[in-house]
Order: sequence, then structure tokens, then C-alpha cells
Amino acid sequence: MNPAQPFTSHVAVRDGRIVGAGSLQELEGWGPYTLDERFAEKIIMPGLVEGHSHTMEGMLWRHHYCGFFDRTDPDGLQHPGLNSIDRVVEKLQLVEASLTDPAAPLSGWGIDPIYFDNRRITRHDLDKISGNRPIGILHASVHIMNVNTRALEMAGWFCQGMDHPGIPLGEDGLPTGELKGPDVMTPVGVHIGFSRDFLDCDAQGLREFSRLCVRQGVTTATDLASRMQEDSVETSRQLTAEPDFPVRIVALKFNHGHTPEELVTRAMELKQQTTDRYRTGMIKIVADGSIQGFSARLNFPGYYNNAPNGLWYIAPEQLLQIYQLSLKQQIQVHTHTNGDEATDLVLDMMEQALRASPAFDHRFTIQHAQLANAAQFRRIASLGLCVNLFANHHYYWGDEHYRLSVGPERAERMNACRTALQNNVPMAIHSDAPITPLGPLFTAWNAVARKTCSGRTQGEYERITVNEALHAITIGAAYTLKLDGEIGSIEAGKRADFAVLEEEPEQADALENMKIWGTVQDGRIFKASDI
Amino acid sequence: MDEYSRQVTYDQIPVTVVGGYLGAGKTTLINTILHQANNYRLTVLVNDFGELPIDAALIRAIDGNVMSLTGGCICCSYGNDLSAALMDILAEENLPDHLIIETSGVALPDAVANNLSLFNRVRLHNILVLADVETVCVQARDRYVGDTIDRQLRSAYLVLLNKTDLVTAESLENTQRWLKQKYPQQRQLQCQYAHIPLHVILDIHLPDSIASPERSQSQPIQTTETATGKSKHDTSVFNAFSVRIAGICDLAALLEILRDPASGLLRAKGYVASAPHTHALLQVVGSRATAIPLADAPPPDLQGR
Repeated sequence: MNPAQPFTSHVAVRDGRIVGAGSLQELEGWGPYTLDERFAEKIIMPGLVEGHSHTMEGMLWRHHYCGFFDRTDPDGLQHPGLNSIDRVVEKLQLVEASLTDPAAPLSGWGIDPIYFDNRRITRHDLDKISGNRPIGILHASVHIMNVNTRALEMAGWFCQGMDHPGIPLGEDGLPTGELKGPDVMTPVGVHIGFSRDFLDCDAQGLREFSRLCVRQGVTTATDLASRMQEDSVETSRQLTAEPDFPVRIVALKFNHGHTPEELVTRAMELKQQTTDRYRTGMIKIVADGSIQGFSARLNFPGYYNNAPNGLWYIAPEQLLQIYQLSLKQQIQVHTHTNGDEATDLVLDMMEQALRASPAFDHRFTIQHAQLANAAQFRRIASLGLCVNLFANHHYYWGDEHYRLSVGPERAERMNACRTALQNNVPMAIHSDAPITPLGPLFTAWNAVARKTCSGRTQGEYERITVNEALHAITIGAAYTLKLDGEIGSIEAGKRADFAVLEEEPEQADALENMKIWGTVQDGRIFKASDI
Repeated sequence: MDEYSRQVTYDQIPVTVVGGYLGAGKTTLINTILHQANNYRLTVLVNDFGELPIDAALIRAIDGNVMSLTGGCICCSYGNDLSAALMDILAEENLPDHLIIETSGVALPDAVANNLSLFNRVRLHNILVLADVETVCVQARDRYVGDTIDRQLRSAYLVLLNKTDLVTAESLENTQRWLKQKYPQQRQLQCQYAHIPLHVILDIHLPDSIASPERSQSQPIQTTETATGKSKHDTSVFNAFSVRIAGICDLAALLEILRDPASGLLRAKGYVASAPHTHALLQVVGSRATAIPLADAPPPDLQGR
């Protein structure tokens, strides 16, 4: 990723840093060395940087994977996708049969009914697994859950007259077992093995997440919406400092539940606590919801199926205040927007904030910006903002967006990587793991191919080249985290962070199913199969 | 300070949802409520403790996100997770007499109210939406939050037009007219510094000093007559009175009268006999009037009041 030296044969490493990259002859001048040839037949590229992920994926694997697509767990085991509700039920029946405690809950994760032609799962499906045991499955979106009758009984909700938009009812007037939204998921979740804080990540979960990183060639990953309570910060700092912890975590403080002043004050405190492998001091704001969930805020003409506009999670004044305080205190802010109206709000508030607190090189980043149009990208560029686009989205939800949420024209321009690059907007691309699987090379492939899972190409114009995509998952992402001086390319002085691949990544096809040997992080070598 | 009698009857805890955009005065209202609490055990759920200017003298202890106040009141910040906070409160041994939930400036109070139906230990009593009389008209046209404010106002049982001291009488009238036109079913109330007597917004009986026998109309009302309890609506003083309804009452007719915005009725509570040996509890909270059948007859001194 060094434009001056795109390919080379050797890299010299000392004390976790790159002494130099070049030919053996060029590097010999540095002095005595040992030659490590284990990667002679492999490809070393800069360690991949995941600029939008959540370490909670490490926790989710405690539950049983029920997704449509194959997915690899922290142990390296590939779990085959389940392509129908019957398959999901069969898998969980097998698990159920192996359980010794008759009262223990059974929990799954990763499903999405849109892959079942939107045939909704009901409690009757899950009752086939067990009538006595509380059972539930979390959807891939993490925003919906399906439970069985027993779980509903335990929550006291298996009765007539339940009246809540998040609890759909069957023709019998009883809940179907689908639970939409955190307000209804929390009270039932506890009965099926999802603790109230299931979005948080404990030490074991962080370890599991780090193992996933090694398998995917990731050497720096974000935990992009952490509550960052004191004890969990301390645990994370200690864990990441362990000699064999293989990844650098960049943790951002989530804004919910804090006033702007509290939030920025806390971020400033956290900035003082940053360590080499647990970087802290940045803020994450969520402005609106999701497009496929119809909770994103859209400009005219709104949702394709005429669904009402979505929800704000922050008021304009609060957003402005956070930006202003943060610019003043040099705290970097990342803001989630999915709808274009939400993106406009960020742009308007940033403009005002910058007039009041001018700052150069703030690199505030818009996360997702899925529906941003060309005019918005021009404003993004002029305001010095970066974007991190959700390139994985067209694979997993592209057909949904085309048919239902935004319609063909806007679906084709969602996650507009080409437009971003044309307007010189610093760009990264991401998975938002666990929403989609961690795997920057696959994300890169998505930005290049823009294929939906039904095989259609969605938005030919916005496709980018392999080189541009590889740039986005290394130095591009590093730039949005202000780490581009330390990581993202193989050059003298930078961290010895590498992804070790079995094949050349220059071919688009290679990216889709790239075999990864492992990583080198701060000069330490991690073989995926040993992790 | 007046003494309020403790909550009678059903064991569901009444909940008042307090909504409204930023700067409308929600926090001031919460503070007002806590200062008037007296013997009442109130639990208040707030989005964040941030700007809650609670008198240091009132605070007994702070433990994480729970602030214990003198007199048994509790203030709890629920951050992002209202369901979890409700679960915690309902798991406690000592339950509050009344629960107040302050929502964030962009939250939809009706969505929050919906969540209460998930817990059978609580029931929705009131949705109060505050509006800053100086700015609400403009905010309702804001390109970003206009539709959110509209939904907030639409969902209110009672709209509190706050900060009337900051506008001229004419401006106030214009705003009131605009509100009436857009939301004809809504009840409005004006106030300054969010100062409102508790009995208007919470589910408590009128203090005896207000609803005293000397002030009540003593003529019994027959079934076929309509009750004509129109209260005069003064901007700074409420008219409160109590009415005795003897005999059997035509509930449907009575409810229709109570629901009519022209009555100016903001709050009412009482017991009527809807049929021989059948009693109902009538509640009027802003624009909502409901009659709940009672299993047992209320005490004789409350019957027909």
C-alpha cells in the first residue's frame, strides 16, 4: 500500500516495528539479521483494518449459529448455512437432544427471514424443538428475536390482549413469538439465555473476537459503540496488553444516556487511558436507525413502499453541541447515519460547529452513509469529513433494498464508493460485525463486484477497482482512525502489522474466498490454525 | 404544602410519561414534581441525570444510576434501556406509588407508553407533553424534527404550554389557537417554570382543602340529566370542584360529555354507579376519559363522587 513501492520481496522487523521494506540486499545494510523464510511462498500485505465492528461478535458464538450463509467461528470451524426454517429447526433439535439440563434455555443467532422469502418464523416452528425448554433465536440484525411458547409463558406474555407494535399477533390473538426491538426483547431475552447486557462484551468475548481477527487477517479492529464503563475498560486494557493478544482494538464511547458535556468529558478522560493495543478517547453517535428496518431518516421521496419516516436518536441541538465541544477538545467523533436526511443533519451541524470551533484535520467520520448522494459527498469533502461505507450491504440486503425499502434507482447508488473517491472523500469500507461477518477481504470484494446474494450486480457505476478496495481496508480505514502514520502500509517506521495470505489478492475472484494463513501484529506472529 | 391521600384501589402502579422537545421544560417539571412529592413515593425515570437540578438537600444517596431522595422518592437514569430499568424497579420490594418517565427530546411518548403494556404491574395514567410556547410553532415546521414534534403533540393526553411568562398575551393566544386547530382533541394547560399542581398530572385524589364539602355542588344529578360541570379556565388558577352523582348514571353519555374538549376539563376522578350494584371508576386525564368497572363497591363516602 505504499505507492512509492507497491511490491517488494522482504521486510525487516525489529521490536514490533518495520525497520524497512525492500530487497534483501537493500535491507542487509541495517546490520545483523535472522532470515525468517516461513512466508516465502505466501503474500504479506499490510494488516487489515476493520473500521466498523463490534467486539460483541465474540460473545455471540456462545449461542448456536442459525444463519443462511456459511460462517466461520473463532475456532476456525465453518458452520454451514441453513437455507430454510426446517433446517434451522433440525439443527436445534439435534442440539436440544444433547442437552442434559431440562430447564436450560436454548439460544440461536444469525437468522434473517428475508432469505426465507420473508416467511416469518413463529413459536410453532420453535415449539417443534421443545415444548418445555425456553428457546429463542436472535436475528442477524440483532434487533429482532424469535421465541417459542414456553419463553413467552415465562415472560408472562402468552395471553390475549398483548398490544404492542413489537409483538405481532397470530390469528388466534396470541403473540407469534416474533419480538421486534430492544424494548420487547430485553424482558424475554433473559429467559432464553441473552443477558440484558448482551450487546456488551466480556473478557472471554474479547478474546474470541481477537481470534476471529487473526483468521480474517485483521490486525486493528474497532469496537464501535462501547459503553466503556470503568471496570470493563480496565479489563480490556489489561487483556489487550497480554503478550499473546493478537489485535489492536480501537474503542469508541457510545453517546446514549449522556448529555453532550458528560460525553465529551468522559471521552477526554478515556483519551488519557489509551494504551498501545486499546486505543480510547473517541466518540460514537447514532443519529438514526436502519434502512431495511425502516427506522432510518430519509429525505423525499422517502421509503419505496411508503413506510413512514424513521426515528431520530439524537436532537439537532445535541448533535451540534457534541461536535462543537469535541472539535474544541480535539476528540474525534464518528456518527452513524443510514438515511440521507440523517446525513444532511450531520452536514448541517458540522458546518455550524466548524464555524464556531474551526479545526483542521478533524477527520470526523460518517459511518454507513448508505444513501448519501453526490451533492452530499461534495459537502462531505468540503467539510473535511471521512466516510466508512457499508459495502457488505448490497450482498446481504441488496435485493431487499431494490424491491422494498428504497427502490431500484437508489439501491443502485447505495454505499457509493466510486462517488466518494471521485470527490476525494477519504473512504473506508466495513462489515459492522456481527451484523455481517468480519472479513475485510470479502468486504473489499463486495465493493468491487457489488453483487447481491441472488447474483445481480447492483450499481455498476459505483464499483471500484481491487486496488482501491484494498486501499480502503488498509490505509483508508487507518486514516479514519487517525492511525495512518502507524499502520496501513508496509514502510519503514510503521508497526509490523501484516496479513499473511495464501494467494495474490490482486484478482477480484481471489478476494471472495481468500485463504488467510494468519497475521503478524506488532511483530508477533499468529498462525490462524494455532490461535 | 397540601397533604395528598395515598393511592387507593387497584395495585397497578400508575405511570405518567413526560415528553416534549428539548428546552420545553421537562427537567424543570420533574424537579417541580419531586419538590411537591411530600408523602408520595415517586420513582422518576430520566434519560440522564445531566441537568436535573435537584436540591442537594433532597438527595440522600447516589448509587450508580439510582439517586435516592428524602421521603422515599427515587430518581433513576435509564440511559438507553427503559425495559431493563422498569424490570429493576418492579423487582424491588418497596414499589412506588407513582412512576414518572421522562423521555428524551426526540423520543415519541406514545411509543414509550406502548412499552408499559408489556408489564402488567403498571398502567399508563397520563401522557404529558410540554411545549415551549415561545418556540413550538417554529419547531413544528423544522425540516428535521417537525414530524417528531407533531407526533409528540398528537400523542399527548395533556399539553403543557410552558414559559408563558416569556411571551406577550397576543403571542400566547396565537399559539393556543394554532394548537387547537391542529390538535382539536388535545387539552392544553399553560404554566410558567413548569409549575403545575401534582393532582392535575398524577393519579391522586384532590387534596381535601380543594375539594371540600362546602365547595361542592350538593344537588343530586338524575340519570337523564347531563352533568354541567364546566370549569372556568383561568390561566393561573384552576377551578376544582367535586360533584355528587346520586343514583344510576348513564356512563356512555357521561363519558361523551367528559371527552368534549369544550368542557375544558383537565382532570377528574370519581366513582359512579353504572347499574344496580355495579360501580365504575371514572378517570379523566386530559383528552382521555375512561370508565373501569370495579369488582367491589367503593366505600360509601366515595360513592357517586
